[in-house]
Amino acid sequence: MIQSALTIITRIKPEQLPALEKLLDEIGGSVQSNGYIPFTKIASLHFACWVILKDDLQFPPTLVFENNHDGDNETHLDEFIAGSLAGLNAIYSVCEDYSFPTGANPAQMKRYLLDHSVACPAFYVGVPGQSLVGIRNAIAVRTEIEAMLDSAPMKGLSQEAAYARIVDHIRESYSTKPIVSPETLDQQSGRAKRNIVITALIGLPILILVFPFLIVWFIMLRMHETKDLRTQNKPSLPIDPRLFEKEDIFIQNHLTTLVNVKPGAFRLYTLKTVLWLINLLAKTYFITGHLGGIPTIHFARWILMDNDRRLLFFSNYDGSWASYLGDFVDKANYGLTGVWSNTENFPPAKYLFVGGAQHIEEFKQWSREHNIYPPVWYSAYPDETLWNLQKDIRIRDTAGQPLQGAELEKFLQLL
Amino acid sequence: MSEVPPLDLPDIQGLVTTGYAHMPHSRFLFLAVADRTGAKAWLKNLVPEISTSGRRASKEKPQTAVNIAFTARGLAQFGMTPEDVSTFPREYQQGMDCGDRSRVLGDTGDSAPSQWEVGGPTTGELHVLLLLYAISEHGLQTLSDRLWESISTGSGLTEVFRQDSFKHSINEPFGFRDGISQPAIEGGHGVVTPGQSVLKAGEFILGYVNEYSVLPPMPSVDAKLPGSDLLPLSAVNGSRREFGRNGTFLVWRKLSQDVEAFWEFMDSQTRGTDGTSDKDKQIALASKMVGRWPSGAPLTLAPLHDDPQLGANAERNNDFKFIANCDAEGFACPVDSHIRRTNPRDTLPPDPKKSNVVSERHRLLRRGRPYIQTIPDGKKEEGILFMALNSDLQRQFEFVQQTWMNSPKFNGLFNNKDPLVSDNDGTGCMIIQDKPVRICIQGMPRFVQVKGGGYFFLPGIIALQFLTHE
Ligand code: HEM
Repeated sequence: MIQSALTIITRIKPEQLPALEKLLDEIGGSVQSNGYIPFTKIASLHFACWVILKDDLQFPPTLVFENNHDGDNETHLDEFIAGSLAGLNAIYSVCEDYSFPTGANPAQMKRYLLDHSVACPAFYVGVPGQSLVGIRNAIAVRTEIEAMLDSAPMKGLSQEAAYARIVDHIRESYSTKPIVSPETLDQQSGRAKRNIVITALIGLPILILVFPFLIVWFIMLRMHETKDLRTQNKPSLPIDPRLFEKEDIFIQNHLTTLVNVKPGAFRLYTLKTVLWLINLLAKTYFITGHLGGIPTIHFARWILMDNDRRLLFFSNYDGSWASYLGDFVDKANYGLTGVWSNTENFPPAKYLFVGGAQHIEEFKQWSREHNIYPPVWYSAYPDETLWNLQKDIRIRDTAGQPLQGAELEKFLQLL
Repeated sequence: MSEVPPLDLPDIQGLVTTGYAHMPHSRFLFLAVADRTGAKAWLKNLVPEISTSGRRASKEKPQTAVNIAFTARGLAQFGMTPEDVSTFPREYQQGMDCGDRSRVLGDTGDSAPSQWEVGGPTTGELHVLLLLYAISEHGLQTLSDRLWESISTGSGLTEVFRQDSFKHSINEPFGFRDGISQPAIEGGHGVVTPGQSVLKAGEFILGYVNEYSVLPPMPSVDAKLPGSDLLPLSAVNGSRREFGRNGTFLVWRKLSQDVEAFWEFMDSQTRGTDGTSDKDKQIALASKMVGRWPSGAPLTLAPLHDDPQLGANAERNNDFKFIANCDAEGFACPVDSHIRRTNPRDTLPPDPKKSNVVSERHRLLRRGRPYIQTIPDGKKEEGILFMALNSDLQRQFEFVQQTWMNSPKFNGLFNNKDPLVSDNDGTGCMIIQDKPVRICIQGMPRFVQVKGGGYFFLPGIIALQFLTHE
């Protein structure tokens, strides 16, 4: 099953802003059990989040909904709307373009949401192809095995005997029948390797063809960068104190970052090209549970909005904000600088990809200043790390197969 | 390679380059400022007495040492403007007892700041921490009396708390050798032992390049302030002067260790089927939690039993990595153990090479000392006065505590925290990698409680002189 990203952008009627903030805080305050959106009952929903963008007065107040779900948008929205129609009406009745005096019916709501949905230029999935049902099943299988190990320790048994017990146990357990993935993680990493070779084979000749253009582009880039250095006068922006209240409650956290794209066509097209490249890599190479080396992202996306004047980044990640930002710098600073050096206030960069996010403290400060508080954030498995999920999936997909020697040892050490 | 700028040792307080190992006696005085003028005059007299790293470089062995550090509120008491204090990082400005920090540090339940003896919301505001060291008890008393006299006679300072320490053993109270693995500072004058990392000075001293090849953010003051011309001009902003240069942050935490409960727990987990205790098994289990044997021998190099010669040999006892020394799975030193969490060396994703780089970006200079005292019910309370120096509280101390020690998901684990020093609550477990499958020790209690603490700044000598200016 393919996972998709849905992003819905609506303008808020300015006079209704306080009411909407109150409503979203109420929903977010008890996200698992609120009376508006029954998140936990939506079987195709991995993550969901509403944010309000209102601080930059150049733009009207805006509501952004983003979610990560299984299957295509239409089918998912049918399921989503079926249980949440009243809640969605409450939220969207304070937005522009909403013209349903007695509330939208399911078909109208779906139309309204789809009409306001935007495309996603770069989208990354941590465990591609794993539906929520599949993920829950993998967690259940591993938990079942763990419970069995804890109730009957296996000290002294041979590896083969221990494995036989585990396999028997799963076979006999009728509550958790493994639903094996159509493509195993090993097959996926094989595909990633093939894809990168193919991409290189196709990309290299193209690169040679466009080389003259690249030189021109590079000279222009350096001119822009020198100018930016001269004119950069970075104001210190306030940090939303509510950010800290929503963090580190669960193992997972959410990050929304909003920045303005530097003016001019050059920066915009450079940005679009970098996002296109990241998206290409996310679909072909970064399909094994890391985005440019960062192993803790479940889903991430970049969205251009307001006629390409603003860039939004959404991600759902494991661990603390400090460790996530540290990973950005330790492992993926070139890629991130390639994106964000085209936006305002980012720490100074050179050659598009260098500098920027390498300045760890400045980068963290920049991030905090541009982070948007998420009044509503939902995760279907908030205490599972991506690393946990990968182990769970591997355990579920292999348990029961004939394993020997090193393979068997590797399997047993997953637990 | 660009040249490493020399450390300005005479401007750096002594504690940064030495733990004063030859001075087993120490006293920590926590003071509050009542009158600014008096406090400044007192500090002015004290500055010439502050031990610096320069004095130590001259190889003479002093009999006593004095160092001084300030909380953010303390700097304000000494007259720093709110604008200047706001150039310090958020964690330091908030202070260790702030709710945000408690969540990050796991200071909850009995370890919450509301329960603390020092540094908590109800135990009196801390402004200054005076650190006194001496080779003898008598020496400490003389030094302390002399300084105390200057404090009590109208200095404008009052004592909020005092804590004594006598380092009677190389072992910490649970019985394990402590103070083995410590990074060295590039350009410092210490001897580097095999396996010891040499880190960029900017990891531990402000004003120098750090492990990211950039300068740490520099706390600064308005260049127009009278007296500020002592301080170097900021390289990035001509209207500011560098207050932070040659200074660093000091984490001070009083951690009580429930030694009795610790060993009782080991006993209860290792009894034979007939109920008999087995001392060797208890020590083996405790060593799995630490990652080293009591002698200090690392489990990775001595998987089956203690090796006191190895443990005592500074040339060998820290010369290892986990994956490089065939312990990738953790069969010898568990992934969950204290030393594998607090310094994962080559075990972080995606690969050992990258991991070595990342691990070095979260190191601490540990300066802890043990304490023992009689508590009201007549029992003995033992523990560590945990002290650590770092140039970035969030990236170093808090990161180690939050992302490595207290995280139930560290390095792919499912639900386990540092068995020795985390905020365990009796529901978690410890995982010991084994064959055919891992062993799970259930019901891990919290053996270590927090009794107090604070975030301090240990300024350079010139910055201290600036503070004395009226
Ligand atoms: C009462 C509490 C604690 C006890 C009993 C304790 C005990 C130990 C012991 C026995 C060692 C091994 C010896 C050595 O390498 O020096 C060690 C190492 C270490 N501990 Fe702790 N510790 C405590 C608290 C902490 C805390 C709060 C932190 C940091 C937040 C910490 C960080 C470290 C680090 C970084 C190492 C060195 C790891 C390495 O580089 O191999 N410890 N500790």
